[in-house]
Amino acid sequence: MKLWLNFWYWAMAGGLFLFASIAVTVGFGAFRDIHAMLQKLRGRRR
Amino acid sequence: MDSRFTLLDWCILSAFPAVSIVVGFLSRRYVGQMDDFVLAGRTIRPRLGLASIIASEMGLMVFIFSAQQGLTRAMSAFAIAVLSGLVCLAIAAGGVVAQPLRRIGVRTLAEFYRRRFSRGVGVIGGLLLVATGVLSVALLLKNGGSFLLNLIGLEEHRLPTVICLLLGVVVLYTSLGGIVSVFMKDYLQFVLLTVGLMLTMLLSVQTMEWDNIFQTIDYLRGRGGVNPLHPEATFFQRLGPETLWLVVALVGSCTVVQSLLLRTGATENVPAMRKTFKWASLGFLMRMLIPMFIGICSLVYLTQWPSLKAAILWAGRVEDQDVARLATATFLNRFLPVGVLGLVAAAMIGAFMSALDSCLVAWSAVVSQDVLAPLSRRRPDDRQQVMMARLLVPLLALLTLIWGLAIPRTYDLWHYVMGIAAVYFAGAMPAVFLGLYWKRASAAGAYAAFFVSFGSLLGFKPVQAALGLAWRPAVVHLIILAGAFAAMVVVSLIRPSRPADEDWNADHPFGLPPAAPRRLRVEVAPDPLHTASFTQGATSPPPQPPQEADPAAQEDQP
Repeated sequence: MKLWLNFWYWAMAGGLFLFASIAVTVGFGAFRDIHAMLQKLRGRRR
Repeated sequence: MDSRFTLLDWCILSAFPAVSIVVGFLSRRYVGQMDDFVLAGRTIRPRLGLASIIASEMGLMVFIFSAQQGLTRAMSAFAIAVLSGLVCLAIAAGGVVAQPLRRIGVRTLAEFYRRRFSRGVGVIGGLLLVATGVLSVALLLKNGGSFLLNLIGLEEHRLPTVICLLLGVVVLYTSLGGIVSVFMKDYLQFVLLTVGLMLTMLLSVQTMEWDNIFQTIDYLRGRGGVNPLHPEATFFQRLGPETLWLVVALVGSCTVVQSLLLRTGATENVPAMRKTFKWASLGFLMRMLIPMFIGICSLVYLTQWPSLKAAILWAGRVEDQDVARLATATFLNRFLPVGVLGLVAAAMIGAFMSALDSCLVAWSAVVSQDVLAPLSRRRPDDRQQVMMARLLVPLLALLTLIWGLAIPRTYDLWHYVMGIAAVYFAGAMPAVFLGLYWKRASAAGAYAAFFVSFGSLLGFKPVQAALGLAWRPAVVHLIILAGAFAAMVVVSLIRPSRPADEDWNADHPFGLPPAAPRRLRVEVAPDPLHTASFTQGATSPPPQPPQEADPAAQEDQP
């Protein structure tokens, strides 16, 4: 029981930390990607 | 019903649909061709692709289902989330289906059927894709709308109004900007979802305390609520056909679901697609893990009241979906502070819309370019197809609305969705897998697989009741899927045929045209400016400047 409690505690904490750090990286990077996408689409239109 | 929604929450909530409409109008001018409308001109880089996949996969249907699993099965339910992430990672690492489809360059699965098999297979496969999609997504309207009403604290009679309003917003920005507006809206939703759900989890742990959450789960659910391998754990209690069918359904959701393939197909090249898909496995894990934890928190929070405790525990025992959904929405409404409540409600509205928008783009593209265009006498050009797709978006949304309002909400959500998915997977999985990886697969075989797939309807409880049967749905779905694969193999061997597309290379595992002769760059002199290139086997090769090689073409060469 104690083993599972500790397992879920660290799994949840680790998973959340990983997800939060990826979310921050993706959040800032994706904003630049939107800009690049719109520029390329504008280029295609011309 | 009394609502805790304040003016600030309403402002945050209404800003999101309004911004989505503005995004739709802004992205309209970037959409000129069918490639722009369906695949954003294949200009998507990995981080935007990843944000979009996470936002769309964490749709409201998945959120409600996962929260319900957390409420009823507590921490044992995490096993489903881990399984989901592992299946996605294995498929992404193996480069199964999405990678060859990206290399071939097809926009939709129906286009793949048409080029690989025949025009008829493309039409039938496309209609099957759209019909099963409309039937399954329609269920979201009432269930998702009801969840939103409970979350905001509105009366139940406002359900049709809320559904029509949200569907109208989705139709507007989807028909205007196609997948371009969907990507931009997905980005906003990704930010809202991650911030809102992280805040909810942090506030829950801070208020209820981690140890208290675990002790309460242990007290309420026993050891089966914490240990997924314990005999009392409801998930692994029936380790057998149900679990196997769940794995098959997860494989299907990562390989033949058109809305996901649109996002992987929109990436700028194959390496970008592989990178996006691999990281998306973390999204597949978290899309279930976070709602499950919120479901657990709602169980702990609401059982503090003796009057609610009996109802919640009873709902957990019999897996009553209405009570489970109501419990999660009530927890969020009662627990979250002002501002955060509006943020989470906006994220949930985004999750509601994201389940619809990419499906509408996919369906309209399939109907316009793979059903109507091949059947029409004068094949419409690219711009006419875009116009057709734009007009089809409201039409398909109307069909979804009619079916969504007609179907009773009391119907078993999970059973219904899995039943519809079983029909689709049993037809699409053999056609796609064997079409890609077995060069003797033929059009007649694909027809046979589509025909056998309708046998999955026998897994529906109303059908079984009408026929006087009592079979386990998972067993029926697995048998029909195996039967569809077998039927396609047998019929393909009996009635072989060549690929419909003349350019299709039957000797290549992915049907790609023969690789161009390999260019070698040879340094012939110490002078760095004196560089010659020649083509193997050519008699008089023209000198050419060194070029940056296409990574996709590079991977295909021996």
